[in-house]
Amino acid sequence: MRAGIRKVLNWTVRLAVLALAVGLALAGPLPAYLARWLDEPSLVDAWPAGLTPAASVVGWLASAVGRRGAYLRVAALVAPLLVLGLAAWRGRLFCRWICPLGTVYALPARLSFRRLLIKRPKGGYVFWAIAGMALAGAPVLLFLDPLATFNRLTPLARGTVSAAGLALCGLVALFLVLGFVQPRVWCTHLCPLGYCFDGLRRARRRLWPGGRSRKPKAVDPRGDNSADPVQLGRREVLAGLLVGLPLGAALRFGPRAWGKGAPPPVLPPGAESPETFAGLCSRCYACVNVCPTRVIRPRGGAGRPLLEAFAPALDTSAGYCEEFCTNCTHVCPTGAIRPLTEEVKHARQIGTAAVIQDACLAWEDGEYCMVCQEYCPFFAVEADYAEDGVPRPVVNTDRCRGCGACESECPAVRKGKAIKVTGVDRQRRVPDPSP
Amino acid sequence: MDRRNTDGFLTRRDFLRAWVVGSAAAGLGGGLWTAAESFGADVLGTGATDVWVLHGQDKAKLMNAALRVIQDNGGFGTSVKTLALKVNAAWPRTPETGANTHPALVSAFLEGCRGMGVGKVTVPENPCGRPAETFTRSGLQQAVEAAGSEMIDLKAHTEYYRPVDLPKARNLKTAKVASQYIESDAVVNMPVAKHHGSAILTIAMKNWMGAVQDRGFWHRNGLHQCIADFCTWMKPTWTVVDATRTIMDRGPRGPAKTLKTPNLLIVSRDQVAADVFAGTLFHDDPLKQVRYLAIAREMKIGETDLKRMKIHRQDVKA
Repeated sequence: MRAGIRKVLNWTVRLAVLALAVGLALAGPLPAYLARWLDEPSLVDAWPAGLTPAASVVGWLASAVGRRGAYLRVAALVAPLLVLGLAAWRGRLFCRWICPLGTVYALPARLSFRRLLIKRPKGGYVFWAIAGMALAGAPVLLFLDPLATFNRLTPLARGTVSAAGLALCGLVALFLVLGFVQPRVWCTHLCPLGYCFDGLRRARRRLWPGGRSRKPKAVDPRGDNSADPVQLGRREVLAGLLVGLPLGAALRFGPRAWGKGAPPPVLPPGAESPETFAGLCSRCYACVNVCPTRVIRPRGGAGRPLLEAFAPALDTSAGYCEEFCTNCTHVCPTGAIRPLTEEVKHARQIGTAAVIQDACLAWEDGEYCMVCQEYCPFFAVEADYAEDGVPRPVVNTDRCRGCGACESECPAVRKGKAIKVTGVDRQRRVPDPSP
Repeated sequence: MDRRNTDGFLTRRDFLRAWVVGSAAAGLGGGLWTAAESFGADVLGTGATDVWVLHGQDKAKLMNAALRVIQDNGGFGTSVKTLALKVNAAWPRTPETGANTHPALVSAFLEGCRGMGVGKVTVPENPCGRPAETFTRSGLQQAVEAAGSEMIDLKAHTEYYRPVDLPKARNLKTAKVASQYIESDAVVNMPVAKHHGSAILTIAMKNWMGAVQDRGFWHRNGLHQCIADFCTWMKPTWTVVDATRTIMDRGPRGPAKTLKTPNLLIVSRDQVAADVFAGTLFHDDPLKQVRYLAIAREMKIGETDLKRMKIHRQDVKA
């Protein structure tokens, strides 16, 4: 009877947290079909949208190591510290009561065939591989973090996801299906966060014995093994680091053999360089969710360095980075996008535009157009007057921030857009920020 | 003795007196009429197209005076149940920048409309910036909603667009126009006068680009001709040009390097005449500078000859 009440309570809490996590993720602009019914789509400040992925202790630790510096914003600190404390006290309590991805994976557990796909837990290897990559400055495997994985689902609800975004979301579908064979196989046997919780609890008990202890029991192929204390073996640490360190270094510093020659992507303001951004990004897509113009989109890996696979970037042909918005800089859980003030963001150069004269209505057809100049918030498009007085656009790259307003609004169609933005190797303050 | 009506408008007598005082002030050359001074009092009463030029510091009083002019000259028509107001709410810029119609003018206009018995006023707009950001930063959403009217975001509500044939047009033979501007009992064009990179000036005629769905077509097919073409079909009941502050360069978005404050409202039934007069605030001969005005003269869309306009000046005390 008591177990029954506990179960009801457990599921009530889990579903409430799940609903909250979805709500937080969607706290940015709502999908068009919902926003249509609201006057102001961004109902709350953007930062709660990053709270779910920010709660991951693994993401927080790995990105701190990867960036060689802890992320000390209160919003980014409170959640992981709470989770850390909870784990030290009760180990995997988070997994069984709070983790929204755990709740999703627990759904098919009762219907499972209960066969063993993976015998011994492998979460340790994943965790230490992430640690190794973090030491090399590119903890790319952070995309396996359960909270980032969960948050990645939310662009689906907004209807803005590309095929690229779907590919990584496929992870969830895969482990849901595998859950019918081995219940919660991800949570118990692969999750790096769960492994981290076990380790934290062990460490705490070694320092300060106490709290409720569970008798160790053998791994039961048909049972829920999430509460089992995992043997923290040297093997996992060594093997993980041995794979992770060189892999991270190869991705981060190796020859950009894959996708060499591709221009740098246009990244959200607050990203430093394509390498640091792609290396630190956990692909949680919180920035995608909060972008009011939806210019930040997940993209695939074709023709790009492997490091950048599935990382979001700005699609300036479809939208632009709004002049006064800093939403994405305040939601990034790993600091791949640093928080910026409006003033700093306003002067940040994330790319540069260039006019393609033979596609341009003014240069090629002699039309009075200059839409690019009209939309440029920074007066970076200047007029070059033809003999008959028709103004033709010229980009002043000292003023251009690369926001993409010119490109997204360019009305030329015959040869495609006549002005295009490419990213920069390193974001910086624009040389001429004068108003 | 208070000569003002309970609804806050000037009485006819007040209006006439102000008109005489204003004209005299302009005639003496002591006025603040900027470019309009060159054709001062001598043109008064000689033309067929009326243009009212109201000067004053207080935007609400200025608009009340404009509404009195409208009321004294036929109003918006008989039994006006619906009125569509075309403001310029194109850019995410604050009111003092001068990139959009000033919200204080819109507030006073909407309040006045209620006093004049107009039923429902809608303010449909296809802005350049993101609608939520643009409408709130410009202060227009707040102004419109506070008056109980409806600001319609045409980017979200594309279902309002109706295809329209423009039989007298040369390039823009058809356009998709917001239905409110087609079906309402009265239509008022309330643009802001400012510099523009490719159109040279954007005032009343060009303001209609915010009422159509596909602006790109205009840019691809002769912008100036398309601006004129649309005005062969679109004839607003009244045009009230906001020239309280004018972006003289770096338009249409601003902020301008040179922002002037003529403190004028230009009121006319003929939007072409209003454009030509407002154009004199920027250029000595707007018809030479602005191609769509020259096309309007050639196609006889409206009055483009200042000498044939009957220009009424009025000083509105703050």
